[in-house]
Amino acid sequence: MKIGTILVRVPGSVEKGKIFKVMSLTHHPMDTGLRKNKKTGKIIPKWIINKVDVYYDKRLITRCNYGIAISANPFLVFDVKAGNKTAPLDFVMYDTKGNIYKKSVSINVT
Amino acid sequence: MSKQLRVTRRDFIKKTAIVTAITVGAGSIMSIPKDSFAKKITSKLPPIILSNIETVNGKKVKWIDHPTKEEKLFIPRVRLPLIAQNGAFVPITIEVKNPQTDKLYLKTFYIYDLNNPFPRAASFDLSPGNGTAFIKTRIKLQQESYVQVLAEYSNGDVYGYKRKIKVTLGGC
Repeated sequence: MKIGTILVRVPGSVEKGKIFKVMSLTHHPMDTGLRKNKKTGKIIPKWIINKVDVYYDKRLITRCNYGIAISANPFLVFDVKAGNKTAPLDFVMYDTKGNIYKKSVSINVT
Repeated sequence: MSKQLRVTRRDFIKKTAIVTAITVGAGSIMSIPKDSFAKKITSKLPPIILSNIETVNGKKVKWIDHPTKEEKLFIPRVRLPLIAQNGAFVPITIEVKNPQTDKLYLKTFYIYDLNNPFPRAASFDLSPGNGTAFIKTRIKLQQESYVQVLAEYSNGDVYGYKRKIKVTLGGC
């Protein structure tokens, strides 16, 4: 898997106004900058995802600020309240090297 | 032969048995190495920090030992394993019973581990768009410590809760 791939699991369809869970898993090493490479003895530089924004219907609903104590391949589950019509759920992630990872899924409201 | 030197068969067996018992017993005690009892597993890890976090963003944190029914709605409920087998992936679930309404909602969750060189593990800003305040993630822990979770509300109250966790294999 490529670094920065975001896997998202949402229910196939949700009822109006109901609360549902969103699962996400990002492929990322999350190097803390404290560990040494055993072969060369050099410190592995810090490289983490430090900010995650989640937009539902183009409104910011959740923002996560990660430190170095989040494990590799960050896993995140949270709740979202469904709106009145079908709308996209967008993930935007920023890491310390300046990369931006994006993923968008649509949520079908019945 | 005089009477004093005469040794009966019964007497001989009794005496030899006592002598062998003493020698064997003494030998077994002497053969044990000296420091086998004194040896203790000494860990190099620093001691656990027990202190609570007093302020966050300039607001005082409420640490309540015996909460009332109303306060129980606001104190974060934390699910952690008693013993983490791998410190690199420790699942943590944080939940608040109080629903997220426009009037009063949970603003931010903070996760702290004071034994970490960078104590704040993560913070999660939520909004009324989440129906309930619920977060599940995975954190890294190096050693046995107290994981502290703070819940900040939109009206300015901050409630704290902490759980002890043991770690068999450090993950930093």
